[in-house]
Parts: sequence; structure tokens; C-alpha cells
Amino acid sequence: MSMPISPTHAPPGAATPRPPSFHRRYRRRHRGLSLTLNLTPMIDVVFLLLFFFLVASRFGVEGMLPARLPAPSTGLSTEVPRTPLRVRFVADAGANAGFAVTVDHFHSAPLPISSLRDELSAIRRDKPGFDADAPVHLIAPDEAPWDGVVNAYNAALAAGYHKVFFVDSK
Amino acid sequence: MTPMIDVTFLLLFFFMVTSHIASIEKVAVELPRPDHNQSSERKPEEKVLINLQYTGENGEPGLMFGSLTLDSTAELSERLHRVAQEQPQAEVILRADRRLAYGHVRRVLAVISSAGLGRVQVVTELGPRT
Repeated sequence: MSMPISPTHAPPGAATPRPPSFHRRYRRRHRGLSLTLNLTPMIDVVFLLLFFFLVASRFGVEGMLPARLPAPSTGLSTEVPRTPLRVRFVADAGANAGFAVTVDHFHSAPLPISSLRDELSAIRRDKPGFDADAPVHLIAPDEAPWDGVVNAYNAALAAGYHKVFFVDSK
Repeated sequence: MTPMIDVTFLLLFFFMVTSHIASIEKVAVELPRPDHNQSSERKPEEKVLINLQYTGENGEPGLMFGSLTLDSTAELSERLHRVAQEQPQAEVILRADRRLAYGHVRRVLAVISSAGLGRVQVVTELGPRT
């Protein structure tokens, strides 16, 4: 009668027999065949994806400045018109892009557009009647650069004014 | 082979995370970059995209309505009136090149306003001014 051999019945000091690993069993069964993962299709797909993202990507992030344009007239307004802050673009050879700005009644000397935000903030802070709801009119001639006009529009929003308008200079 | 696959995956992950997919409507335009930019990233539900491209110092700007190139502001007016009837709440996304003269953009703004579309988003480039 034979006894099953198990670790508990093995003589003391004898090495415990281990079951062969999957890899070894696979090699025994398929002698001559190597076990390798074929990476080529994966690399193909990854390179295709990489190429797609390289071609289709845009890195500049765009933002939007909200603006309201006047709707076609629907009747008389019941709102009492407020005195606007008039920002005018004036040709100035020394200024960036050849244009500077003035603010009617407050700053008649040409001011760089980059300083407009501080000027408008000071008016809002110090002058009664020119709070955040005061309308700001941007009056620019046709030759003024669009970049400068957007910069002035943005400066008025940054100074805390909500109602900024592009006004026809004619 | 393993380092190359590692680098390729890293590159792929970088592009997937940092990039925005280009749209056929968003043509190459140098956008204004104001100081202390107040603009924000938005995705309006109903929108009409207008591109104004710079074509040189004395050239008329290239006018595009979505992906369509238009010949005149009259054609733009016709299309915008149609949009105003079908989607009165539509917002107009204006991508105008920073090198353009204000007069060109003012004429387009006048056309948008006369069509009855009052909500305009002026597109700028986020990031520091150069």
C-alpha cells in the first residue's frame, strides 16, 4: 500500500517539490516555440495616434470677451441716459501702434493704452457719478488697430465697468 | 524597444492632455492679446463663427462665415438675417486678426447688429502679451 507523498509526510530536510511554472510547462509542451508578445500592432496604433494629435492639435488657448451690440430700435427707452466716459483714440507717433487714448474731461493728454485700465479705475474710485454702471464709449477712427481697440475694451472691463460700447466716430 | 515605447506613450499622453483639436472653422488668425485679459473660455450652445483674416496692409480682409468664404458683407448680412430668424439667441463668435484696422471690424459689427444678433463674443488669445 502506497502512501501519498505530501509535505507533511516528507522526510525532514528533504526539498519540497514545486509544481512546474506555466512558462516551463508551456515550453515543455511547445518545444521550439518562443513565448513573446507581438508589439508591432500596438506600436503601429500608438504612432498613428501620436501623428493624429501632432497634426490636429492647436496649442494657443482662446478666450472670449462678451460684447453687446444695439438691437434694432423697438421703441422709446424709459432709462434715463447717464453721462458716458468717452475714450477717444488719437494718432500719436510715439505710442505703440501709432495710437494713444484720451478720456474726455479727465485726461486730455494722450495716454498709452496700457495705462487706460489704471486711469479708468481711478475715475471709478474717485469721481462721484462714475460707478461700475457708468457707460464707457470707445470712439476709434477706422485706421486704429483692432488690437488696440480690443485692448482698450478689455481695459475698461478690467477697471470694473460693465457697459462698454464701440461708438461710431462719425 | 521598451524605452522607445515609454517615450512614445509619454508623448502621446502629453498631446492628449495639452492640445485642443483644431476645427475647420477656426482658421489661422493672429488674435488680439490684451493686457490683464478679462476673457474666459466659453462654449456657447448656439453660435455662429465669423473669421476676419488679414490679407496685407491694403487688402480687404478675408471674410468667413463658419467654414464658408464670403465675397462681401452683403452676403454675410443675408446669412446672418437667416440665422437671426432661426436662432434668435445665437451668439456671434468674432475671430478678427489683430493686425486689421478697426474700420474693417466695425463694418462687420454693424452688419451683425443690423441682423438683430446683439450677443457678440470677441475672441482673444489667452496668455501674456508679447
